Amino acid sequence: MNERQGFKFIAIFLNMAWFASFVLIPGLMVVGISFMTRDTGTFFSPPLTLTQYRELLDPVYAKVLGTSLIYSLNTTLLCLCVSYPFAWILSQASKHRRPLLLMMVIIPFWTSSLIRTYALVILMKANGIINTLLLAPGIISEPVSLLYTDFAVYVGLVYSLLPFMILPLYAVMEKMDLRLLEAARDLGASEYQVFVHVVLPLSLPGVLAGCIMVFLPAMGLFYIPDLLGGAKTMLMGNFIKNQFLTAMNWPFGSAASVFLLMLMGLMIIIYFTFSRRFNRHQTL
Amino acid sequence: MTRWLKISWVSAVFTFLYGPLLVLMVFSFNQARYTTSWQGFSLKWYMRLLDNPQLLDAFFNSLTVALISSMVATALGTLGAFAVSRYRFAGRKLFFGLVYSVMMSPDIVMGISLLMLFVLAGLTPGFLTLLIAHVTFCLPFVIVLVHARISGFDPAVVDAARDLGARDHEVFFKIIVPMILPAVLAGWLLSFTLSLDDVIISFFVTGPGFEILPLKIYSMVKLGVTPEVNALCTVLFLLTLAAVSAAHVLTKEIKK
Amino acid sequence: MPVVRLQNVCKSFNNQPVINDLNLDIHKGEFLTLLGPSGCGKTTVLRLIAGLETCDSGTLFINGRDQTRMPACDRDVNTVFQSYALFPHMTVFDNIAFGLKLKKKPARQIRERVKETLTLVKLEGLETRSIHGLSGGQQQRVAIARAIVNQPLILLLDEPLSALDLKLRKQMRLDLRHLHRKLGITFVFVTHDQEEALTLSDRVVVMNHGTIQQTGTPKDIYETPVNLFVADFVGESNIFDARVTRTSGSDMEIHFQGIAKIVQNRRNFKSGQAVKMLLRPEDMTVARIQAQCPAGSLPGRVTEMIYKGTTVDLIIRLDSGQEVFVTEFFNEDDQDIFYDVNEPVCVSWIKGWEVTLADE
Repeated sequence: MNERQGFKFIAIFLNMAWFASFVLIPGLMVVGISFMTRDTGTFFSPPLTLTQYRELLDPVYAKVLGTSLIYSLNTTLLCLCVSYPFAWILSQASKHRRPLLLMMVIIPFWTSSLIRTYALVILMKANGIINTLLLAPGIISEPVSLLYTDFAVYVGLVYSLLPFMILPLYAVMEKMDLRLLEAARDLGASEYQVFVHVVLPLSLPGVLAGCIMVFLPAMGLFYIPDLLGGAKTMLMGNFIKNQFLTAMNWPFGSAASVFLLMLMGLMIIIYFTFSRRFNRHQTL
Repeated sequence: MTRWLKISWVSAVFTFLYGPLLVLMVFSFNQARYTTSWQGFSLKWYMRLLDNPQLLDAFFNSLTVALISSMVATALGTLGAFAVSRYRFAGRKLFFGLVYSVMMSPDIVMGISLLMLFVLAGLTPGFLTLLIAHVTFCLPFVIVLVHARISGFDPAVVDAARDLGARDHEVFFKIIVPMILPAVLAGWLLSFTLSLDDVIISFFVTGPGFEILPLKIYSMVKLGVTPEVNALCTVLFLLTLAAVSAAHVLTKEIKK
Repeated sequence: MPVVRLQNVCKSFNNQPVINDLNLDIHKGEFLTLLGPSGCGKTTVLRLIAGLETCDSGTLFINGRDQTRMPACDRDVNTVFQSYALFPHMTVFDNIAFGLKLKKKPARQIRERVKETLTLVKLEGLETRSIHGLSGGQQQRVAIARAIVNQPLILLLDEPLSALDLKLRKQMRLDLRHLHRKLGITFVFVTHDQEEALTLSDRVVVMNHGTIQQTGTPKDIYETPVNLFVADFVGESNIFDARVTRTSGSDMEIHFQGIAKIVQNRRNFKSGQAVKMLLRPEDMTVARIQAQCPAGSLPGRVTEMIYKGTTVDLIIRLDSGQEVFVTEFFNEDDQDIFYDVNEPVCVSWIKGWEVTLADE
């Protein structure tokens, strides 16, 4: 092995070792511990068991699971409905205006979701801006409680995750060959038909990527129900957090995490199956 | 779609995205304690921040972790991306598989898995554990950015440099480093903001002895809203804004 | 003494042999072209000379010295890359000055040399421009300038014109020839474009599957190809299967397409031997049929006529069923070279213009 290869070997080895130690091994630990029994002294003990998974299906916990899934699903749909037209308008904006508009989407994408959630708290408090604005002209007669409602949780989730939907959609739409739309129109398609037969199918990879990027994190953002939903709403994130920090039940918390990992695996499989099929269509 | 509808849709979305932040920032300069009405411009909440040693500590801790973890992630990730792009090896697929699964995996799962690892390894949660966790979630971003840059340029430039008389170290410092520099800087800036803003993973891997800003904000907000938090959030937001804008300019340079 | 000598050179990639026991001498000051289809190993030969690849076995002499193992950075050879490989983070000046700076030449001298070279490639005054703002043709010239500013012993050009459009390509051909004459250094040029090879070179090396098929002047290569590959790859050919029926002195009688004809016997063919006979489209003549074709010419019918300005191309289906391609030049005496489709014609040629090769 010469010097250059040695350097490459070390560089790759360091990265691989890092991922193995802090991603692969902890991940396998989560899976392993999910099959163990709770133990108050050592967190978990050996007898291998499916108890945790059976318990996860118990109506009490299955309900948490189901609720969290519904929250994620609704959040994803809301984000999609808002983002799809938005991303399309953005992608069709004039060339010199696009960078600025895109930049304005990227800034919230990278900024702390906690800070943005907190900004919503201020807006929605009983003595917050929205109430003040509604009270002053007499639209409402007494402060309505926006905070600590389902509505607030949805606003919070959509607010935090919206850029994750917009960016993949925009990325696909910007690359779309506009001559295809012209060709469709030239062949006699109405605006509606152009959308259904050309724009929508071509933007599907973006829709899929956006949905995955919203759906999965929406299950874990525990501070949003904490700050906006009071303690009433429970997402998977809150549930897992409680298992690890309050109930000290590692195996049960791990089992719930494995559920999230399986969901992630499923989404990756869906994404790759669809994008492969899509690519094949494109090369035809 | 009519022009009017387009404009209002875009304005509505941007208002939704920026309105709350704007209100937050405006009220951080409000004289009054409550965020209901404007009672005049004041910097008193910022002054109060400076008088709060706990907050300053947390801020300093956050900056330290963000700086060090982003630098470690950038160094490691740049080396990795460079090696991977110039060297076909059997584990290449596994490597990128790991990179993308880290980017995809839910923060909460990463948080609890690292928590368990650190507890079992006997590490006291604090600076070191936080640092490791932050490097771990920043690393993939650096790798992807730098790798994209390297695979974007013509591999023949390295041949050209050698042909013109450059030795290995000259090729590296005169050609490769300047060419990937924008991507490296962008990766570093984005790592910095990711680290500065992270809540979920940090929540699990830090201990009471080492408080960082986002978690401090979280606990303050849970206890009740105070105007200091407005000021604090404004500071943090502006910091990320600066870093993200700089990174964005650099990634645009990459695409050129 | 040749400026480059490759002796029994072999090179494989992933156990796939790319260069097979290759021997080649390149003479000082000549314009040599390596011509061949893609994958024939011509670029590998170039990279071996540049030092960007090392020979698996065999020896490479540059200027009489064994430099088989010498790294690229120490060789007195520079390359113009197919993709130009300009450094995107540098200006035109910095790109061209790169090699001189590495050799630690004084700044003043570097400035002068870069300026001279830019004039030579007709890019005066572009020193401070960034690479991104240049057109394809300008980038090409910067790539050439970056190589020749180092005054190398040999300039290697790896399909440098392939990315340019036709008009620019023709202009660059002229400029390259001019540059070669002016600099007096050895040019080794790689291309798959036979027209480029024929118009530019002093000598052409035709390659296929990692071996040299023929080496010679463009005229040799075109007029007397040594095998079917060369004949087929360089220019267009009509190829006929034929059999020698009788030999006498420097002539022989062959049978093909149902006729017999006396042709020259340059390769000592024996009676009864199967041969391939090659005819270039422009070497054949077409005549309107009178009553019957004269002896030694082939009857057929015009199936296509393509007007090309200075020539007329005819596709003729012979009575045997084989199609031949004939190019007729406009001629003051004979304005009448326009034929109707399906018109019966006779095809013939002047004895000695054919090339006969053994049937491999």
